Amino acid sequence: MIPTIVVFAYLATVLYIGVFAFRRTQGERPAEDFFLAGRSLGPIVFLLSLFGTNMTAFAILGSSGHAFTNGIVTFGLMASSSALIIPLGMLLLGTRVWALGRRFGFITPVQMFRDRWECRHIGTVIFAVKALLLVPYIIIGMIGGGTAFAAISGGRIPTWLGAAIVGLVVMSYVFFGGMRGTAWVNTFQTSLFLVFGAVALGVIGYGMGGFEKAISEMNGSPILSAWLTREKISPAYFFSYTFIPLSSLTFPHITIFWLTARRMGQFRKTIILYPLCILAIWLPATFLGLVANRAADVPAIARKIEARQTLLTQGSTLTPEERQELRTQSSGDDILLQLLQHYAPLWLAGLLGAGILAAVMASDSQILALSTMFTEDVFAFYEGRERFGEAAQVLTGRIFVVLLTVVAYVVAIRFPQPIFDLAVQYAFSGFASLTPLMVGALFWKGSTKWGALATTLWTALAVSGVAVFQVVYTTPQVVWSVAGLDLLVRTQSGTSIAGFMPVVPMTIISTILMLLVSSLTPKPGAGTISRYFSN
Amino acid sequence: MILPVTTMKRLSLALLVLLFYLSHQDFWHWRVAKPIIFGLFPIGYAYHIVFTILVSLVMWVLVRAAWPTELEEQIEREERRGEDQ
Repeated sequence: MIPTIVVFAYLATVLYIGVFAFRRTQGERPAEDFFLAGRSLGPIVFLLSLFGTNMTAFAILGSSGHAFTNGIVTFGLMASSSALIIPLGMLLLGTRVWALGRRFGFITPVQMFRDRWECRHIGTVIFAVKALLLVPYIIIGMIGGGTAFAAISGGRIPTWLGAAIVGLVVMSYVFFGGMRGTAWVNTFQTSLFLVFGAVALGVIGYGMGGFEKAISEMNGSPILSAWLTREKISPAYFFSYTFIPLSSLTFPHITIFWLTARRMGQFRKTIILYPLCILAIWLPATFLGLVANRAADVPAIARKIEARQTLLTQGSTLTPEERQELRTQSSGDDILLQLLQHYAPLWLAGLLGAGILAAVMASDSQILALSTMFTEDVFAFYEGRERFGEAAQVLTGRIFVVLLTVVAYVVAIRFPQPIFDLAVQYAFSGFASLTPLMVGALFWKGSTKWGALATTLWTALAVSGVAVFQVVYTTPQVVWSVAGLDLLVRTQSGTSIAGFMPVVPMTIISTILMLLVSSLTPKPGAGTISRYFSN
Repeated sequence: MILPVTTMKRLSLALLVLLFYLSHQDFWHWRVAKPIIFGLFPIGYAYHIVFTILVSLVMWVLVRAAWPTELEEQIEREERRGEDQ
């Protein structure tokens, strides 16, 4: 009961921050103020909030669950590659997007693409594809919120109700506070998790009798010693994963967030400190997921290990429904919370659970980004602002926030799936495949709207193709093999193409299409090119 | 052929980034856990922790050496001009 009360107190605080931000709203340019916090965020809020925007349920619950299942490989798969690629992208792309936003008044990436490539409806297609790809990411936040709540309350609050409460709180502070509220809440949440992540590590380590003992026991176990190496994942799969962080450079909520900085100089510290922030969050999350394999004294974790073992030894003889049931049972998405509940005192479990919930609630930025894109790229673009005024545009954005939250909630409740897989397969791979849009617009004078359209349609087609493939082939099997080389394989958690994750061929083909189609189609006018490449 | 300083600098920085990207694929630690650093981190884990810290240093170098100063100054000039008007 105590942890639940603490979590409710935390949610009330978050709500208050959002409402407080609402009271700080300035009236001169309501749209820019609501959607971009008036392009006025200071350096600390910019760093912590941008980082918090990237640290979602996927980073915290998904990564610890993945480490629980796969071992130490998780940190190298996502954390260290993100530490290199995301700040590098901020330096190369973020600073330029910020400058263009400042100069031309862009609020969304689609506005930039429309202007850069002199297009109208192609921009709408880009909006539609980005919007559809972002929805799974929002759903992850909902599922994560529900999972966290259910675990913290010891099952008293069911997942559907937990997801509803988290959805309602997020919707409320985004509705009232807009970008300012979201940024402040994210800053608060990131600070909270950075502090409580370290505390959680200490408390659980103490409870388990020391991590050295746990690692030593794992190393001595014939089964668990594999978790201390990377043999469960192939080097080709590991390489594939370095494409995934590219998605963080094309996610609309990240691109839009870049525009909120008061000065370009604010990117400097963010770029340098970003890898260390990743370390501070991912190291405790993955390490605790790893050592949870030695926490068989926690009944919920023992059941997960047992389900995993059954799946491994009898998987091929089970029905698809039984396999799915076992997969759900063995999912490690709530592993951190289970460890906390067992090893931390009640009041501390509540505080730490709130810290985890803080990270999980990063879906606020995505909801706001989609609302921003809808109102700017559709409502305002198709003359809604001219006809109804800027106040109506902000109201439309707020209504969109409500509708989107409700839709995401319904989908999250109907289709629960392990967080990690859902995110990687659809949202992350799709956005990584859209990278040539951003790079082409900013660095290649020869890129054209037709190249952009080809890249966008290919991405939509590829993501749909992977989804359909996985619905048709539900069990692990080789689907297409040529001369002993397995070209298309349905794996336990997804799809493999010649040993690589789909994101690799998706991004490569996307790049080729941008290059090929652009070189065959007419370029934008000289005036447009000179405005973008005057330096 | 002697390359201009800026080209040399850009090339060196690109090579630095490429080197780091390639060193991320540390296949040589793949199937071994030992040594276990501080009794906590198997070598494949410790490698990526150190890698992440070093990336922060690389970013410091990049920010110092490859910052888009001209673009930043241009925007500031334009904004000052806008405020004056």
